Amino acid sequence: METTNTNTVQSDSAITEKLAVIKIEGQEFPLEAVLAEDDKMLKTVLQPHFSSVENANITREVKNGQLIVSIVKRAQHKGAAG
Amino acid sequence: MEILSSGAFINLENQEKIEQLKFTAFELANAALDTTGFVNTEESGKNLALEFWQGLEYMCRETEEATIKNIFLNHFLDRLRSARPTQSAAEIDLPQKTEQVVSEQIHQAEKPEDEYLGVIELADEENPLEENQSEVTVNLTQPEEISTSEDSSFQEVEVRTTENISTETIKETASPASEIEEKVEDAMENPVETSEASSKLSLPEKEPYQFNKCTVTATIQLLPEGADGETVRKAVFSVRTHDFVPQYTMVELPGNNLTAEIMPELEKVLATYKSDLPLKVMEKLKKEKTTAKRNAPKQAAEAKTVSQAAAKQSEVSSSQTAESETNQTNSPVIPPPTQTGLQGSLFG
Repeated sequence: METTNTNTVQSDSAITEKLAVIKIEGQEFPLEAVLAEDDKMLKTVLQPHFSSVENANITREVKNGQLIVSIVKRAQHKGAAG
Repeated sequence: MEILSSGAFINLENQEKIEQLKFTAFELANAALDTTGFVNTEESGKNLALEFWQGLEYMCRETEEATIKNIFLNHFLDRLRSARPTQSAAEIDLPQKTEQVVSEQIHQAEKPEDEYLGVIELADEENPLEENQSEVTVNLTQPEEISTSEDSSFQEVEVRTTENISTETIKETASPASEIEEKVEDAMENPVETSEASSKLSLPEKEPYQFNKCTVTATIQLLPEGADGETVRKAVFSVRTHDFVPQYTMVELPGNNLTAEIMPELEKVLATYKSDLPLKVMEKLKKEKTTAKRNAPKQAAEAKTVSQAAAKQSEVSSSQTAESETNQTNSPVIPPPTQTGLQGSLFG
Protein backbone atom coordinates (compact mmCIF):
# COMPACT_ATOMS: atom_id res chain seq x y z
CA MET A 1 0.00 0.00 0.00
CA GLU A 2 1.49 3.29 -1.07
CA THR A 3 0.69 6.42 0.83
CA THR A 4 2.42 9.70 0.36
CA ASN A 5 2.01 12.88 2.25
CA THR A 6 3.10 15.72 0.06
CA ASN A 7 3.38 19.34 0.98
CA THR A 8 3.95 21.23 -2.21
CA VAL A 9 5.73 24.51 -2.80
CA GLN A 10 5.30 26.69 0.22
CA SER A 11 6.71 30.00 -0.91
CA ASP A 12 5.44 32.07 -3.81
CA SER A 13 8.71 32.55 -5.65
CA ALA A 14 9.23 30.69 -8.92
CA ILE A 15 11.88 28.07 -9.54
CA THR A 16 14.72 29.62 -11.47
CA GLU A 17 17.56 27.25 -10.64
CA LYS A 18 18.00 24.24 -12.89
CA LEU A 19 19.08 22.02 -10.04
CA ALA A 20 16.99 21.23 -7.00
CA VAL A 21 18.37 20.15 -3.65
CA ILE A 22 17.16 16.83 -2.29
CA LYS A 23 17.37 16.28 1.43
CA ILE A 24 16.98 12.65 2.42
CA GLU A 25 18.31 10.45 5.20
CA GLY A 26 20.46 13.27 6.55
CA GLN A 27 22.14 13.84 3.23
CA GLU A 28 21.83 16.49 0.55
CA PHE A 29 22.50 16.28 -3.13
CA PRO A 30 21.57 18.10 -6.30
CA LEU A 31 19.05 16.76 -8.78
CA GLU A 32 17.53 18.18 -11.93
CA ALA A 33 14.55 20.31 -10.90
CA VAL A 34 12.51 18.71 -13.69
CA LEU A 35 12.86 15.36 -11.95
CA ALA A 36 12.14 16.74 -8.50
CA GLU A 37 8.97 18.64 -9.27
CA ASP A 38 6.72 15.62 -9.54
CA ASP A 39 6.30 13.08 -6.76
CA LYS A 40 5.96 10.12 -9.05
CA MET A 41 9.04 11.03 -11.05
CA LEU A 42 11.01 11.78 -7.93
CA LYS A 43 10.16 8.42 -6.44
CA THR A 44 11.05 6.61 -9.64
CA VAL A 45 14.41 8.31 -9.76
CA LEU A 46 15.28 7.89 -6.10
CA GLN A 47 13.88 4.40 -5.61
CA PRO A 48 17.01 2.43 -6.64
CA HIS A 49 19.13 4.10 -3.98
CA PHE A 50 16.57 5.10 -1.35
CA SER A 51 13.88 2.51 -0.90
CA SER A 52 12.38 4.51 1.97
CA VAL A 53 11.11 7.11 -0.49
CA GLU A 54 8.16 4.90 -1.34
CA ASN A 55 6.38 5.80 1.86
CA ALA A 56 7.70 9.16 2.83
CA ASN A 57 6.65 12.70 3.54
CA ILE A 58 7.79 14.91 0.71
CA THR A 59 7.99 18.60 1.40
CA ARG A 60 8.88 21.19 -1.21
CA GLU A 61 9.90 24.78 -0.80
CA VAL A 62 11.58 27.36 -2.95
CA LYS A 63 14.45 29.40 -1.55
CA ASN A 64 16.11 31.98 -3.75
CA GLY A 65 14.68 30.36 -6.84
CA GLN A 66 15.96 26.91 -5.92
CA LEU A 67 13.63 24.04 -5.23
CA ILE A 68 14.41 22.28 -2.00
CA VAL A 69 12.79 18.91 -1.48
CA SER A 70 12.84 17.37 1.97
CA ILE A 71 12.00 13.70 2.15
CA VAL A 72 11.33 12.23 5.56
CA LYS A 73 10.77 8.55 6.02
CA ARG A 74 7.46 7.86 7.65
CA ALA A 75 7.22 5.58 10.64
CA GLN A 76 5.33 2.42 9.80
CA HIS A 77 3.78 -0.45 11.59
CA LYS A 78 5.97 -3.07 13.12
CA GLY A 79 7.01 -5.57 10.48
CA ALA A 80 6.23 -3.30 7.56
CA ALA A 81 8.87 -3.36 4.86
CA GLY A 82 10.96 -0.29 4.14
CA MET B 1 63.66 -16.10 25.47
CA GLU B 2 60.16 -17.35 26.14
CA ILE B 3 57.66 -18.87 23.77
CA LEU B 4 54.71 -16.58 23.27
CA SER B 5 51.58 -18.17 24.69
CA SER B 6 48.53 -18.53 22.49
CA GLY B 7 46.04 -15.70 22.49
CA ALA B 8 48.69 -13.18 23.53
CA PHE B 9 48.38 -9.58 22.40
CA ILE B 10 51.14 -8.51 20.05
CA ASN B 11 51.80 -4.99 18.89
CA LEU B 12 54.62 -3.75 16.74
CA GLU B 13 55.78 -1.22 19.34
CA ASN B 14 56.57 -3.98 21.78
CA GLN B 15 59.91 -5.22 20.55
CA GLU B 16 60.09 -7.91 23.18
CA LYS B 17 56.85 -9.47 22.01
CA ILE B 18 58.05 -9.40 18.41
CA GLU B 19 61.26 -11.13 19.41
CA GLN B 20 59.24 -13.71 21.32
CA LEU B 21 57.07 -14.21 18.26
CA LYS B 22 60.13 -14.82 16.11
CA PHE B 23 61.48 -17.22 18.68
CA THR B 24 58.14 -19.04 18.83
CA ALA B 25 58.09 -19.41 15.06
CA PHE B 26 61.64 -20.72 15.16
CA GLU B 27 60.87 -23.23 17.90
CA LEU B 28 57.70 -24.42 16.19
CA ALA B 29 59.63 -24.96 12.98
CA ASN B 30 62.21 -26.95 14.93
CA ALA B 31 59.48 -29.06 16.47
CA ALA B 32 58.00 -29.67 13.05
CA LEU B 33 61.39 -30.74 11.71
CA ASP B 34 61.84 -33.15 14.60
CA THR B 35 58.49 -34.75 13.92
CA THR B 36 58.84 -38.03 12.10
CA GLY B 37 57.08 -38.13 8.78
CA PHE B 38 57.25 -34.38 8.23
CA VAL B 39 57.96 -33.62 4.58
CA ASN B 40 59.99 -30.44 4.40
CA THR B 41 58.68 -28.82 1.24
CA GLU B 42 57.78 -25.21 0.62
CA GLU B 43 54.09 -25.95 0.19
CA SER B 44 53.73 -28.07 3.29
CA GLY B 45 55.75 -25.54 5.25
CA LYS B 46 53.44 -22.73 4.20
CA ASN B 47 50.35 -24.71 5.10
CA LEU B 48 51.77 -25.70 8.45
CA ALA B 49 52.79 -22.14 9.23
CA LEU B 50 49.29 -20.90 8.44
CA GLU B 51 47.76 -23.63 10.57
CA PHE B 52 50.03 -22.72 13.45
CA TRP B 53 49.15 -19.06 13.06
CA GLN B 54 45.46 -19.80 13.17
CA GLY B 55 45.85 -22.14 16.10
CA LEU B 56 47.88 -19.67 18.13
CA GLU B 57 45.10 -17.07 17.95
CA TYR B 58 47.34 -14.12 18.64
CA MET B 59 45.57 -10.85 19.19
CA CYS B 60 46.76 -7.96 17.05
CA ARG B 61 45.52 -4.59 15.94
CA GLU B 62 43.71 -4.90 12.66
CA THR B 63 46.21 -2.67 10.90
CA GLU B 64 49.19 -4.58 12.22
CA GLU B 65 47.87 -8.09 11.86
CA ALA B 66 49.19 -8.60 8.34
CA THR B 67 52.66 -7.44 9.27
CA ILE B 68 52.84 -9.55 12.40
CA LYS B 69 51.56 -12.59 10.58
CA ASN B 70 54.16 -11.97 7.92
CA ILE B 71 56.90 -11.91 10.53
CA PHE B 72 55.73 -15.20 11.98
CA LEU B 73 55.40 -16.94 8.63
CA ASN B 74 58.74 -15.67 7.37
CA HIS B 75 60.62 -16.87 10.42
CA PHE B 76 58.90 -20.20 10.37
CA LEU B 77 59.61 -20.74 6.70
CA ASP B 78 63.17 -19.46 7.00
CA ARG B 79 63.90 -22.07 9.63
CA LEU B 80 62.44 -24.80 7.43
CA ARG B 81 64.41 -23.58 4.44
CA SER B 82 67.65 -23.54 6.36
CA ALA B 83 67.06 -27.15 7.36
CA ARG B 84 66.33 -28.15 3.77
CA PRO B 85 69.20 -29.51 1.67
CA THR B 86 69.59 -27.08 -1.24
CA GLN B 87 72.04 -26.69 -4.06
CA SER B 88 74.40 -23.80 -3.69
CA ALA B 89 74.59 -21.19 -6.41
CA ALA B 90 78.19 -22.09 -7.24
CA GLU B 91 77.27 -25.66 -8.12
CA ILE B 92 74.78 -24.65 -10.76
CA ASP B 93 76.18 -24.27 -14.21
CA LEU B 94 74.30 -21.32 -15.59
CA PRO B 95 74.88 -18.85 -18.37
CA GLN B 96 76.37 -15.52 -17.29
CA LYS B 97 73.11 -13.63 -17.29
CA THR B 98 71.19 -16.07 -15.18
CA GLU B 99 74.14 -16.31 -12.81
CA GLN B 100 73.79 -12.62 -12.14
CA VAL B 101 70.13 -13.10 -11.42
CA VAL B 102 70.91 -15.93 -9.02
CA SER B 103 73.57 -13.93 -7.22
CA GLU B 104 71.20 -10.99 -6.93
CA GLN B 105 68.51 -13.19 -5.50
CA ILE B 106 70.88 -14.80 -3.07
CA HIS B 107 72.08 -11.35 -2.11
CA GLN B 108 68.49 -10.41 -1.50
CA ALA B 109 68.00 -13.48 0.61
CA GLU B 110 71.05 -12.53 2.68
CA LYS B 111 69.86 -8.98 3.21
CA PRO B 112 68.90 -8.23 6.79
CA GLU B 113 65.19 -8.50 7.31
CA ASP B 114 63.09 -5.60 8.41
CA GLU B 115 62.32 -6.16 12.06
CA TYR B 116 58.69 -5.08 11.62
CA LEU B 117 57.78 -6.22 8.19
CA GLY B 118 60.05 -9.22 8.14
CA VAL B 119 60.53 -8.89 4.43
CA ILE B 120 63.31 -8.20 2.04
CA GLU B 121 63.65 -4.99 0.08
CA LEU B 122 63.73 -5.16 -3.68
CA ALA B 123 63.00 -1.69 -5.00
CA ASP B 124 65.00 1.52 -4.61
CA GLU B 125 64.92 3.10 -1.20
CA GLU B 126 63.92 6.45 -2.63
CA ASN B 127 60.24 5.67 -3.01
CA PRO B 128 58.65 4.25 0.13
CA LEU B 129 55.44 3.23 -1.64
CA GLU B 130 57.31 1.26 -4.24
CA GLU B 131 59.36 -0.28 -1.51
CA ASN B 132 56.33 -1.48 0.34
CA GLN B 133 54.62 -2.94 -2.69
CA SER B 134 57.72 -4.64 -3.85
CA GLU B 135 58.01 -6.17 -0.42
CA VAL B 136 54.62 -7.71 -0.89
CA THR B 137 55.51 -9.21 -4.20
CA VAL B 138 58.81 -10.51 -2.92
CA ASN B 139 57.06 -12.18 -0.04
CA LEU B 140 54.87 -14.08 -2.39
CA THR B 141 57.54 -15.15 -4.80
CA GLN B 142 60.68 -15.46 -2.72
CA PRO B 143 60.09 -18.94 -1.33
CA GLU B 144 59.85 -20.29 -4.83
CA GLU B 145 63.03 -18.56 -5.83
CA ILE B 146 65.03 -20.11 -3.07
CA SER B 147 63.60 -23.57 -3.17
CA THR B 148 63.86 -24.08 -6.90
CA SER B 149 67.25 -23.99 -8.46
CA GLU B 150 66.43 -24.67 -12.11
CA ASP B 151 67.37 -22.16 -14.82
CA SER B 152 63.90 -21.75 -16.22
CA SER B 153 62.22 -21.15 -12.91
CA PHE B 154 64.68 -18.42 -12.02
CA GLN B 155 63.91 -16.56 -15.16
CA GLU B 156 60.19 -16.95 -14.70
CA VAL B 157 60.26 -15.67 -11.19
CA GLU B 158 62.41 -12.74 -12.14
CA VAL B 159 59.93 -11.70 -14.80
CA ARG B 160 57.05 -12.08 -12.38
CA THR B 161 58.54 -9.87 -9.72
CA THR B 162 59.38 -7.09 -12.14
CA GLU B 163 55.87 -7.22 -13.50
CA ASN B 164 54.43 -7.01 -10.04
CA ILE B 165 56.45 -3.96 -9.19
CA SER B 166 55.74 -2.13 -12.36
CA THR B 167 51.95 -2.52 -12.46
CA GLU B 168 50.59 0.01 -9.98
CA THR B 169 53.53 1.60 -8.30
CA ILE B 170 54.81 3.57 -11.25
CA LYS B 171 51.39 4.84 -12.23
CA GLU B 172 50.43 6.05 -8.79
CA THR B 173 53.53 7.87 -7.63
CA ALA B 174 51.98 11.33 -7.99
CA SER B 175 48.92 10.64 -5.83
CA PRO B 176 48.05 12.61 -2.67
CA ALA B 177 49.24 11.57 0.78
CA SER B 178 45.92 10.11 1.91
CA GLU B 179 45.80 7.85 -1.09
CA ILE B 180 49.35 6.74 -0.49
CA GLU B 181 48.45 5.79 3.06
CA GLU B 182 45.56 3.75 1.83
CA LYS B 183 47.70 2.06 -0.75
CA VAL B 184 50.32 1.22 1.83
CA GLU B 185 47.66 -0.29 4.02
CA ASP B 186 46.30 -2.23 1.10
CA ALA B 187 49.73 -3.44 0.22
CA MET B 188 50.21 -4.59 3.79
CA GLU B 189 46.95 -6.45 3.72
CA ASN B 190 47.52 -8.06 0.36
CA PRO B 191 49.88 -10.89 1.33
CA VAL B 192 47.42 -12.19 3.90
CA GLU B 193 44.53 -12.16 1.50
CA THR B 194 46.45 -13.87 -1.25
CA SER B 195 47.93 -16.49 1.01
CA GLU B 196 44.69 -17.37 2.79
CA ALA B 197 41.91 -17.32 0.27
CA SER B 198 41.62 -15.19 -2.82
CA SER B 199 37.95 -15.97 -3.14
CA LYS B 200 36.98 -13.94 -0.04
CA LEU B 201 34.23 -11.45 -0.60
CA SER B 202 34.93 -8.00 0.74
CA LEU B 203 32.18 -6.10 2.49
CA PRO B 204 31.24 -2.80 0.83
CA GLU B 205 31.85 -0.75 3.97
CA LYS B 206 35.35 -2.17 4.28
CA GLU B 207 36.28 -1.47 0.71
CA PRO B 208 38.86 1.22 0.09
CA TYR B 209 37.68 4.61 -1.12
CA GLN B 210 39.19 4.10 -4.53
CA PHE B 211 37.11 3.93 -7.64
CA ASN B 212 38.88 0.87 -9.00
CA LYS B 213 38.83 -1.00 -5.72
CA CYS B 214 35.28 -0.55 -4.50
CA THR B 215 31.80 -1.53 -5.56
CA VAL B 216 30.32 1.10 -7.83
CA THR B 217 26.58 1.00 -8.42
CA ALA B 218 25.44 2.67 -11.60
CA THR B 219 21.79 2.86 -12.49
CA ILE B 220 20.32 3.81 -15.84
CA GLN B 221 16.71 4.88 -16.00
CA LEU B 222 15.16 5.49 -19.38
CA LEU B 223 12.24 7.86 -19.04
CA PRO B 224 9.31 7.45 -21.41
CA GLU B 225 9.32 9.17 -24.76
CA GLY B 226 7.62 12.53 -25.22
CA ALA B 227 3.92 12.57 -25.96
CA ASP B 228 4.32 14.25 -29.34
CA GLY B 229 5.89 11.22 -30.98
CA GLU B 230 9.51 12.28 -30.47
CA THR B 231 12.03 9.48 -30.25
CA VAL B 232 14.29 11.50 -27.98
CA ARG B 233 14.47 9.83 -24.61
CA LYS B 234 15.60 11.28 -21.37
CA ALA B 235 17.84 9.02 -19.37
CA VAL B 236 18.84 9.37 -15.75
CA PHE B 237 22.20 7.99 -14.73
CA SER B 238 22.96 7.62 -11.07
CA VAL B 239 26.26 6.42 -9.67
CA ARG B 240 27.04 5.56 -6.10
CA THR B 241 29.71 3.92 -3.95
CA HIS B 242 29.80 3.14 -0.24
CA ASP B 243 27.26 5.24 1.65
CA PHE B 244 27.81 8.39 -0.36
CA VAL B 245 24.89 10.17 -1.94
CA PRO B 246 24.26 9.12 -5.52
CA GLN B 247 25.40 11.42 -8.28
CA TYR B 248 22.55 12.02 -10.72
CA THR B 249 22.94 13.07 -14.31
CA MET B 250 20.15 13.51 -16.81
CA VAL B 251 20.89 13.22 -20.52
CA GLU B 252 18.87 13.19 -23.68
CA LEU B 253 19.42 10.31 -26.06
CA PRO B 254 18.37 10.46 -29.72
CA GLY B 255 16.67 7.11 -29.26
CA ASN B 256 17.74 5.50 -32.54
CA ASN B 257 20.14 3.01 -31.04
CA LEU B 258 19.84 3.20 -27.30
CA THR B 259 22.53 0.72 -26.31
CA ALA B 260 25.12 2.46 -28.45
CA GLU B 261 24.01 5.88 -27.24
CA ILE B 262 24.09 4.90 -23.59
CA MET B 263 27.68 3.69 -23.56
CA PRO B 264 29.50 7.00 -24.16
CA GLU B 265 27.20 8.77 -21.70
CA LEU B 266 27.81 6.12 -19.08
CA GLU B 267 31.53 6.43 -19.59
CA LYS B 268 31.29 10.18 -19.09
CA VAL B 269 29.24 9.79 -15.96
CA LEU B 270 31.64 7.23 -14.50
CA ALA B 271 34.63 9.39 -15.34
CA THR B 272 33.00 12.36 -13.60
CA TYR B 273 32.23 10.26 -10.56
CA LYS B 274 35.76 8.91 -10.51
CA SER B 275 37.16 12.42 -10.43
CA ASP B 276 34.66 13.56 -7.78
CA LEU B 277 35.14 10.60 -5.46
CA PRO B 278 38.28 11.92 -3.69
CA LEU B 279 36.40 15.12 -2.83
CA LYS B 280 33.54 13.12 -1.38
CA VAL B 281 35.98 11.09 0.67
CA MET B 282 37.67 14.22 1.95
CA GLU B 283 34.33 15.71 2.97
CA LYS B 284 33.34 12.53 4.71
CA LEU B 285 36.60 12.39 6.63
CA LYS B 286 36.20 16.03 7.65
CA LYS B 287 32.68 15.33 8.89
CA GLU B 288 33.86 12.31 10.83
CA LYS B 289 36.62 14.37 12.41
CA THR B 290 34.27 17.12 13.47
CA THR B 291 31.77 14.67 14.91
CA ALA B 292 34.57 12.93 16.77
CA LYS B 293 35.71 16.27 18.16
CA ARG B 294 32.18 17.11 19.23
CA ASN B 295 31.74 13.77 20.91
CA ALA B 296 35.11 13.81 22.64
CA PRO B 297 34.42 16.67 25.14
CA LYS B 298 31.01 15.19 25.93
CA GLN B 299 32.56 11.86 26.77
CA ALA B 300 35.25 13.57 28.83
CA ALA B 301 32.58 15.54 30.72
CA GLU B 302 30.58 12.37 31.32
CA ALA B 303 33.67 10.63 32.56
CA LYS B 304 34.37 13.55 34.88
CA THR B 305 30.86 13.54 36.31
CA VAL B 306 31.03 9.80 36.80
CA SER B 307 34.37 10.05 38.56
CA GLN B 308 33.12 12.93 40.71
CA ALA B 309 30.04 10.94 41.66
CA ALA B 310 32.19 7.98 42.48
CA ALA B 311 34.46 10.19 44.58
CA LYS B 312 31.46 11.62 46.40
CA GLN B 313 30.11 8.18 47.05
CA SER B 314 33.44 7.02 48.39
CA GLU B 315 33.61 10.12 50.59
CA VAL B 316 30.12 9.46 51.91
CA SER B 317 30.86 5.83 52.55
CA SER B 318 34.14 6.67 54.26
CA SER B 319 32.42 9.25 56.47
CA GLN B 320 29.72 6.74 57.30
CA THR B 321 32.26 4.17 58.29
CA ALA B 322 34.10 6.77 60.31
CA GLU B 323 30.90 7.73 62.03
CA SER B 324 30.04 4.15 62.75
CA GLU B 325 33.51 3.65 64.11
CA THR B 326 33.20 6.71 66.30
CA ASN B 327 29.76 5.55 67.42
CA GLN B 328 31.17 2.23 68.34
CA THR B 329 34.00 3.79 70.26
CA ASN B 330 31.90 6.46 71.97
CA SER B 331 28.97 4.35 72.94
CA PRO B 332 29.14 3.23 76.56
CA VAL B 333 29.59 -0.43 77.09
CA ILE B 334 26.42 -1.74 78.58
CA PRO B 335 26.88 -4.99 80.43
CA PRO B 336 24.28 -7.63 79.85
CA PRO B 337 21.72 -7.67 82.57
CA THR B 338 22.43 -10.24 85.13
CA GLN B 339 19.67 -12.69 85.81
CA THR B 340 18.04 -11.95 89.00
CA GLY B 341 16.24 -14.36 91.15
CA LEU B 342 12.98 -12.51 90.64
CA GLN B 343 13.03 -12.91 86.88
CA GLY B 344 13.91 -16.52 87.09
CA SER B 345 11.02 -17.08 89.39
CA LEU B 346 8.60 -15.54 86.92
CA PHE B 347 9.06 -18.36 84.38
CA GLY B 348 9.78 -21.13 86.36
